[in-house]
Amino acid sequence: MIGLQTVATPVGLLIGIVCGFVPLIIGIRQKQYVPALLGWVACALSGFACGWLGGLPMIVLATSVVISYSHTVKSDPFLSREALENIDFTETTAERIVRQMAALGRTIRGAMRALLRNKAGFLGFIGMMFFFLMTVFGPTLIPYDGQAHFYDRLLPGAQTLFRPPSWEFPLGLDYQGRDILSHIVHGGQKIIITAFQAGVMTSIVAVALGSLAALLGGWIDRGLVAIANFILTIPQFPLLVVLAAIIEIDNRFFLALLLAALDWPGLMRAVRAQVLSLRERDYVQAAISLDLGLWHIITREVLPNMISYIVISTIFSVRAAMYSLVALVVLGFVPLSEPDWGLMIFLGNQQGSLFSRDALMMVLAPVMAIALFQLSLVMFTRSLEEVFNPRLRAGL
Amino acid sequence: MTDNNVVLSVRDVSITYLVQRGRLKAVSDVSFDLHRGETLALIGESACGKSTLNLGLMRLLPRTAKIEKGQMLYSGRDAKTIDILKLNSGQLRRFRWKECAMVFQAALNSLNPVIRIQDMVYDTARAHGEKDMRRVRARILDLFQMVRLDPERVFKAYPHELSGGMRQRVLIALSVLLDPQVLLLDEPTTALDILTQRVIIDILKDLRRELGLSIIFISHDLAIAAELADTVATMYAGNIVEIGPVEDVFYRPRHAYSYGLLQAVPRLSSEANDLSSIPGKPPDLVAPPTGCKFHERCAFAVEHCKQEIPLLMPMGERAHLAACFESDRVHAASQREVTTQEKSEVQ
Amino acid sequence: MNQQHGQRPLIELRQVQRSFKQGRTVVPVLQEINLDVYPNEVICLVGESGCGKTTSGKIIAGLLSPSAGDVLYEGQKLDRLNGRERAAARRALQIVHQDPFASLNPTHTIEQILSYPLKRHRMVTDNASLRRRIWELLTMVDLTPPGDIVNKYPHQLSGGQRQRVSIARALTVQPRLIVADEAVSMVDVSIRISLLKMMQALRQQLNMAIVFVTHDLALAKYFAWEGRIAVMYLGRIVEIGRTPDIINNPAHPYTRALIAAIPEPDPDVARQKAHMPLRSEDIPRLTEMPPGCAFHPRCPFFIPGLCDVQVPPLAAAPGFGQQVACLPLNQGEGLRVVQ
Repeated sequence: MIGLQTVATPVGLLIGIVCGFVPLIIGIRQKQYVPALLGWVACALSGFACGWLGGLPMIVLATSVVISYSHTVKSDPFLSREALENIDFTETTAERIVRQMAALGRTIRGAMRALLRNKAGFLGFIGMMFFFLMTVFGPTLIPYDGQAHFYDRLLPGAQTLFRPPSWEFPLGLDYQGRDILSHIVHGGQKIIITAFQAGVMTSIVAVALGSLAALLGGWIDRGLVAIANFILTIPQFPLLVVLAAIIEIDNRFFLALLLAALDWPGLMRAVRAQVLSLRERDYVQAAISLDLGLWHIITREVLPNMISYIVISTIFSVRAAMYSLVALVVLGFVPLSEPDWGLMIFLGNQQGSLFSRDALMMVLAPVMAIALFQLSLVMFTRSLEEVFNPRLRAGL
Repeated sequence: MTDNNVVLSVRDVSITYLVQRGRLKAVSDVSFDLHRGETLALIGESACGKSTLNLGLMRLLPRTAKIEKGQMLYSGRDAKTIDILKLNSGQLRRFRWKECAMVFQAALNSLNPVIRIQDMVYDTARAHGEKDMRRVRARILDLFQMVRLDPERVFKAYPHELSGGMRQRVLIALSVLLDPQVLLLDEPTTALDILTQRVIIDILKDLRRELGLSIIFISHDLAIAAELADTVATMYAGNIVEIGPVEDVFYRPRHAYSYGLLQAVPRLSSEANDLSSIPGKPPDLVAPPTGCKFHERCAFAVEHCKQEIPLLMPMGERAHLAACFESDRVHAASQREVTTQEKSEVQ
Repeated sequence: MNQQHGQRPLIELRQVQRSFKQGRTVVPVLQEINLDVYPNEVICLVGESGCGKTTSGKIIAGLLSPSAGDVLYEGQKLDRLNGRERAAARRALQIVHQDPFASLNPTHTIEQILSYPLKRHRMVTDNASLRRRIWELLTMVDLTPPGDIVNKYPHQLSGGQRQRVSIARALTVQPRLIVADEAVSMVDVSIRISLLKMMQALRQQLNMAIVFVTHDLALAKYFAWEGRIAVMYLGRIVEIGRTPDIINNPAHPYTRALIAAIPEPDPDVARQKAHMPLRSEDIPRLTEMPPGCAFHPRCPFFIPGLCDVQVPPLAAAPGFGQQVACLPLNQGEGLRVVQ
């Protein structure tokens, strides 16, 4: 997540388009035109957004999906009905890679179908994508508008330059006569990225410590649970406020770290409970009996069965982090830099936008943006269980 | 209903579940009569529709289920006949428990752990319009005696103080508290230990005799049917494929599936160890196979079975019906089995 | 113990005890279990819930360690083995669980489930031999054609098919003993026999021993007719011997009660069968074990002053081919119903 602090660049777009040729050409050769084109678009977009970091992984994903459509099983001995002696089980490395990519592609398609099936979840996904695209691509389409637009020259002595929404400025103007829409588009990026950083770090710490506590047991378990319980008893937001006041937080990443440091114990206890219950499952017992090793048991038997839970928890951590961030900014405890949704609320509040109907959008717009984004996240989580569980994915 | 002796008559009932892939036909065109004082066993494996049918009789199906067609005619003590499917919710509440009671499969967990047995008894009685609590108390103590429980102790106990078998007996006693005519039992002995099973079987026999109950119970266990039932109905893939007096079905099976089931169960009493399974697995009920639904697994199947659906036809003079085109060959095979067994016993 | 084998036991349990902590109380689940399992034999542990049969099965499979006593693998104490020997012993002892819906990881395909142990223990050299081996294993457990199975997830298979996959998974490491813990009790009646037949065939073909844990004496009789049955009650083995001896001539009152109580899928037999009335229908709790023979509060042949004082050891009894833990029988007195 740290590397994602990029905005769309022309170079990125070029990278994406180049990357997109891989699935495009493979798809055209296999006469799978629609998936090929979609793969090309996906590569172009993700390259545009994240450069090499987005383009290269997307090549693998998009190509897998394209291959999965046309991957015939004619050479696959696993599907032949001949006698065992007559089957040729050898396959070249290339064949094996193609087979595994096809399997990956089928999984992705299954996940997409599951995503489409759950209406609330899909709506959440759309909302989330909208905000992502807006924060990534929006700045290139809608330039940052820092200048004041004067309308009320006829009113000398006007204190503020608030304007209600109009055709020219769909969300109106703020107290300095600046376009609110451009602030909304530009002000989300930092807050969303910081919130995601905090959420992901929370999850990593919680999953690592929770699994360790559950699987190792003994004094490690007791110690970690004691620490978690201790942190849980501290009223978190006041502590955050105090910390923010003492330490001068000028680094966004440091702020995310601070949020994660306070947020992990709840999730860690939940993960620990999950691992404890999974540990007693018959298939984990079988893995112990087959002597498959602790690493295999954690990564292959336990984690895949918790993945939806972990992702959902991550999203809820993101949500909590975002609220904390906005609250800190609104209260003025962290250094402020424009544009920022939290700062808009702070300034709107300070400049008395609560007392003028024309100024409503100055506060309402960022509040709505935050609320809608949160709503999308929460709705999106509802489809995740179906996306990650093979049984639910198949729609049974 | 012409026969006065019939307490429950099920006619052409079909029940479907709405699932993602379409309509799952859990029960299709099931008809049977339950006579007064009769014990009917519905025998079948998982997903054969027996539980759905039972829940349908109590109108306790989940919302995704739909009773497509049919009638369930119940003849009360006042000789009035009602269709269970046409009752409104008030009538249903009176019907359940007072006319027809049910003991569930997961019965061991269906007692609220924080409520004493006595409060549960009173609550149940009150919910069904009983006012005289002294009478209720006397009645339940009688019933506890009948199911071989220590009445005073159990009456005051919390569920966790009772063992699994005792809890099952409490539930059976509770189910007949309001003196129903019909008792539905869903796998009454599954998950119980053998000695406890024996007690439950004996108790059910006692209750049936003393209260004149008509019982429908469903089970996958042929042995329980042999012990308790007067009439056995075998269900496969949502249909009753064979129904008849217990001796007829067990000794002279006329449907290939019943015969296959009987061949698949190990017995303690006989030396014959040439058991065999039915190959394959039950059909997909969203898209069932054409013709007889059993033909894919059937050793007796002929071309005809794949095209036409067999109907329940009378076999012999008694009330023995089977839905099998090859019933004569099944019958012959089962009789050959018996004769070879007898021969080996003679030797 | 059992002279007929004349060879070294694969697994020996010596005075094994096991207890579990439940809050502050200690629940003794197994007491003084002595049991030998010989190579290639089939032995059934039979008993009701809470008798300790599953715990014994897990101890034999190496998934639980005893609280006291020793487990010997090929004559050597398991806890004295070094790391490598121990891993080898662990692989030689496999378990097939009861619930086919919980025993396979729902996120893996059948191919993955079978390939992990094969790869981990280098049972195969390359990719082609891996796939050949998976194919072979699936054919061995009658999942044919394997091509229809490999790419499926567990939820796409029926209960019986999943149990077959579990067995194939156990076979990947070429075990010498498989503990089948109620392996067919959650499978439909009509396909149980085929599973049992397959397990018997595999046992002979691969020279494995099978410890079959079940509550169903009729099933035990069918499966272990050539082998032995051990009847367990409240954490102890009360009777052990060759299957025909136990079924045809049960010695211990508990075994007799069980055999008399089993419902038979035969209406005439069921009606004629004489049942054995017990003195009490309630099983004592494991935390409040009666003194002496644990069965004495329910036993219709109870002799006061003898059965409620001394714990009967598992020993020969005149007139019986099997060993039994019942003092009146051990002393050759015979059983008389108390009034």
